[in-house]
This record gives sequence, C-alpha cells and structure tokens, in this order.
Amino acid sequence: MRLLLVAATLLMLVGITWALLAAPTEVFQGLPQRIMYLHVPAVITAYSALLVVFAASALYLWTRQARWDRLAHGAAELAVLFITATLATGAIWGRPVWGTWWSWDARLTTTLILWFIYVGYLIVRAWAPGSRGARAAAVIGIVGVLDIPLIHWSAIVLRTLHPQPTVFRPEGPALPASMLPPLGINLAAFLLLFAALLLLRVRQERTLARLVERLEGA
Amino acid sequence: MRTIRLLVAKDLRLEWRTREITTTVGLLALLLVIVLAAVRPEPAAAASAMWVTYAFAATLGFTRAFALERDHLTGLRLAAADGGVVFLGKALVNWVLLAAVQAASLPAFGALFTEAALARAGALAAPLVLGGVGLAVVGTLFGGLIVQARLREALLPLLMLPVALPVLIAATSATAALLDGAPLRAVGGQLQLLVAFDILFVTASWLLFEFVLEE
Amino acid sequence: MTRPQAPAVELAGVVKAFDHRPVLRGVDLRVEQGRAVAVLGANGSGKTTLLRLAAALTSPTRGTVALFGRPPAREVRRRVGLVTHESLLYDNLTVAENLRFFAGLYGLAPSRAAEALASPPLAPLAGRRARVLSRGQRQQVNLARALLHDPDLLLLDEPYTGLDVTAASRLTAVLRAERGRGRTLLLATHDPEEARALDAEVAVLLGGRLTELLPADALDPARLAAWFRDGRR
Repeated sequence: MRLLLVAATLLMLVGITWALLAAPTEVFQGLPQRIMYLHVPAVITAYSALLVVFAASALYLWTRQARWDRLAHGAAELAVLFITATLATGAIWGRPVWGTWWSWDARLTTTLILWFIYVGYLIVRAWAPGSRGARAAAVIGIVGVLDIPLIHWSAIVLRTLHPQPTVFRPEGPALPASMLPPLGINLAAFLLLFAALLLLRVRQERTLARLVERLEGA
Repeated sequence: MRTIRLLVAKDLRLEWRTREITTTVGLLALLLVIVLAAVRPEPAAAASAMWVTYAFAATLGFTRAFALERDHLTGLRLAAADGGVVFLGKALVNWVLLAAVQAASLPAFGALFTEAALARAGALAAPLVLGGVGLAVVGTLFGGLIVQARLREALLPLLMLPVALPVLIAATSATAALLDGAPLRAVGGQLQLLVAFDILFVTASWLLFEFVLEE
Repeated sequence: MTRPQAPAVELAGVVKAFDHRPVLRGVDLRVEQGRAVAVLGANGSGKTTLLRLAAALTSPTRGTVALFGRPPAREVRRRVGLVTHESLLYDNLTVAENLRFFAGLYGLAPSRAAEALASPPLAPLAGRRARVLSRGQRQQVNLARALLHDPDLLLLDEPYTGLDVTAASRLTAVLRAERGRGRTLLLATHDPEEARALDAEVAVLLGGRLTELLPADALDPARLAAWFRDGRR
C-alpha cells in the first residue's frame, strides 16, 4: 500500500508538471483547458469507484462476508471524494470557458445527483451501524449504479452543452497526441491513488472490527 | 398473488379505519398547492408545482406507511412471507394512496393554475400513473430499508428524491407539454423513460427486498 | 418427511454478534421433540436472540442452527410458532380480522381462524379491536395466532410478562395442554417458577453461554438470583 501511495504521488507530480509546463496550450480555451488533466482522471476514477461499490455490494449481499462490505464502504467514500473533485474542477473550468459555474447538462446533472445518492449512502452507514446498516447501504449502492443510465437519459430530456467525449470514443482519441501522455499519466496516478486509499480504508476498518471483536469477546 | 391481495386489503382497511395517512398527506398536498399558487399562479408553473406537491406528499406518506408496519415485520417473516411479495403489496398500497392524492388535487390545480389540468385529465393520466408508480416503488424500497433507522423521516426524502429524479424530470416535462396542449404522441420519449424506470425498479426492488426485510 | 428422532431445535457452537459485539458466545442446546425446555436468563442476557435464532428469524454469526434436523429454510419456519413479548397484532384490526389475516398469510383456510375464534376464551373477543384488549386477553390472542398453523415447535419469549395471577395460571394450563398434545415448547424467562409450573427442563444463560439441561427442581432460586446479579456462576 505504501508502495502504491509513493507511485501515485510520483506519477501525479510528473503528470501535473507535464500538464502545466510541457503540454500545448489549447487555442480556443487557453490556459483553463489545462484543468482537464485533473478533471478527466477524477471523473473516470469516480465512476470506477462506483463500479467497485456496485460489485462489492452485490457480493456482500450474496456471500455475507464482511470484507465485501468494507470494500464497498471504502469505495463509496472515495467515490464521493472524487465526484466532489470532478464537480469542483468542472465548475472552475466552466466559469472562464462557458461563462458559468454550472449548467444543467446531462453529464453534470448525472454526476451531481450521484453525489447526493452516495452521500445518502454514507449517511445511512453513519446512522445505522452493524449488519442492518451494511445491508441497507448495499441496496443503495446497487440501486444508485442502476440509476445512472436513467438519470443520464432524463437529463438529456433537458439539454446538453458539455464538450462531447474527446478521448474515449469509437473512432479513437480526438485530442492532439501531445495532450495524451500527461492525461494518461494523471489518470494512472489517480487510479493508483484510489487503489492506495481504498486499501488503507479497508485495512483500517478490518483492524477496527478485529479490535472490537477481541475486546468484546474476551 | 393471494398474499399480495391479503396485504393490500389489510393495509387499506387499516387506513380506512384510522385515515391517518390520507388526512395528513391530503392536507399537506392542499397546503402546498395553495402556497405554490400564491407565489406563482401562472399556467407555466403548473407542471412543476404538481410534481413538487406529489413528491412531498409521497415522502411523508411513505414514511408513515412503513412506520405502521415496523412492529409487524416479524409476524410477516414468521409466516414465511416472501420479501418480493411484501414489497409488491406495500408498493401497491403506496401507489393507491399517492394516486388518490393526485386525483384529489387535480381540481385544485385546475382552479388555481390552469384549467387544462382538468380539461386534459385523460392525457395527463399517463404521466401521473407512470410517474406515481415510479415514486411509489422507490419510496417503498427505501422506506423498507430505513424503517429501523434513526431519523428515518429525514432520511427518506434524502435517499428517495435523488434516485427518483429521472421520474420527476420526465414526468414534469411530459405534464408541462400536455398542459400546453401537446398530443400524447409528443411526449413519447418521456413516457418511455418512465416505463423503463418503473420496470427496472420494480424488478430490482422485488429481487432486493428479501435482504431489506432481514435482520 | 419428519424424522421423529431428530431434535426439534439443535444449536451447536452458536455465536451471535451484533456489530462485532457477541451476545451469545458459543451456545449448545438440544431440545428433543415433545419436550419442554426453559432458558433462564437475566434481562439482556440474550434470551430473545436465542429464540429468534430458533425461529430462523436471524442467522448465527458462527455455529449452526437446525430445526427438526434440517437447516432453517423457509419451509421449516412454518413448523415454528413464536409468541414474543411485544404483540404482533394490528391494533386497529379486530381479533377476528387479525387471525384471519395471519391464517391467510400461512395459506390456511379461513375456517382455521374461525375454529380458533370458537374456543371459549376468544369467542367474546372476536369483534373487538386489538388495541382495547387487556394484557392477558392480548396474550391469549397472540398464542392463538402462534398456534394457527399447528406448529410442532412453540417458542415463547417471556410470555408471562404483565399477566395477573388469573391470566398467568390460565396461560400455564393452556401451555400444559399444548405440551400434552405433543408440541415441543421452548420458553425464555427470568423466573424459575414458570419453568417449574410447566415441568420444563431448565438451562441457564449466563455470560453468553448456556448450562446443560437440568431438572427445574435442581435450581435454588436464591443462588440463581445471585448468578443473574453477578452475570456468572
């Protein structure tokens, strides 16, 4: 885990330096465009975290093993963290480029609503401890991810002003080749950071569970 | 199927005796209509006022509905009632109560916002029913989930409204278009979304409810 | 289907923890069919948890629970009746409606509820709402509800709580009669007198563990009270 943290930090330093100093400045958006190097990795990490929550919640309900619950819990905390980072970087970028902090675009709306759903998840965990809370949270974790396509669809019923996907699309990346390395490095750094923090949280919770068991079981 | 009928009949009989939910929720709905109309009585505000009212009424009513059952879940589980069946019974009751509020408040919207609310009641039935089912399903799932939690009255809207947001958006948008005189055909996209939401969440809740009831 | 030699309830090495805090710390209990066993324990000693495990309402953290020699699946649960100290009746339904509802849940004919209602103590209560019943009447209805589906095993969680002398002796008579019909009884209580009245064998729940089965007369109430006070033997 320590190794993961070190690797993540180093990669992030490289990625951010590259993004700030070496990467080309975008013609229309100018300097604010560079926040993309944080925004895109953050959002990809956030959605990866949600997939972890989904899978771990389903496995917990299926197997009843507390370790899946700890994994889901840790991933949900980090999902909220990275969604917050996504929303914050997006707003900071939106102000100079779109001229507004916020717009009711499909992607923005979906991400914002997910923030509310998973903050709700954490509140349930805080207010309902024990296996009852764990089961309730698992159900929310599953339902929240199932809801993603529907939220997105409903937000399209509103309208869209977000830039279309430029990296992950069927016909290949549309970004200039010189922007890809720092983006890739930052993405790797974010995912490593996520993995390291997740491991840390899961271990903390496991230690806590064992400690309580030891103390009470004596 | 027989068990669902049994559960629904029992709940409706209890509600008929006490009228606890109908009175509180009905009054709240009426109050909301009046407040919203006093602030902004234009026809353009009608659709959003309607769904704000329904969403509030639903969160209040659904918390009550499960509070009523809280001490009896043991009895249902002892009789080996299947979780999915209990879910369907509860969701049906919740929907009936919400539909009653929707039907009863329609004249108020007609009088205070736009006469189209009554004139187009036939077409409006589509988003009202489909959206009502969506709210009832999500409300029943989360209501069951937090029935034992502290602060459940505060928790239900917090959990239910974000998840039910697609319902609220699609239903409000369809309602607005229909009040504007658009034909039912024109809101096909929204109705599709509502149908998809209802199907997905009925299925998911039906499968997950066994875990919800456990202890 | 029924293996008559299988014990009605068998707990082996059962640990039940809530939020990592163990309430039961390794309980072994074997109740043969047709027997009556009382689990004696102070408040909060885990009696209710033990009964809920035996009713398959909750599952053990470790160890195994078997009912009639089988894992406690849904079908086995139907052979169990439970009387809890809180009432499972709906306050605003009449006694008759309550019993008809539960008979329906168990998939029984409405005539089964009618039969239960025809019995002398319940007949005058049929049309009354559950909320107006006295504690003793309520317990009678609860017992009738738990027996609707003719369970082989009857679990009773502090059934005497709040009953006056008449109601308590009536309950004892009913329970002795049920035992005479071959029903297995498992009773949780803090009062050894109740166990003695039912000729039940006794096991004491202390510190999350259960003693072996003893005849009810073998327990000295004063010593038992001291155990409960200190939480250990």
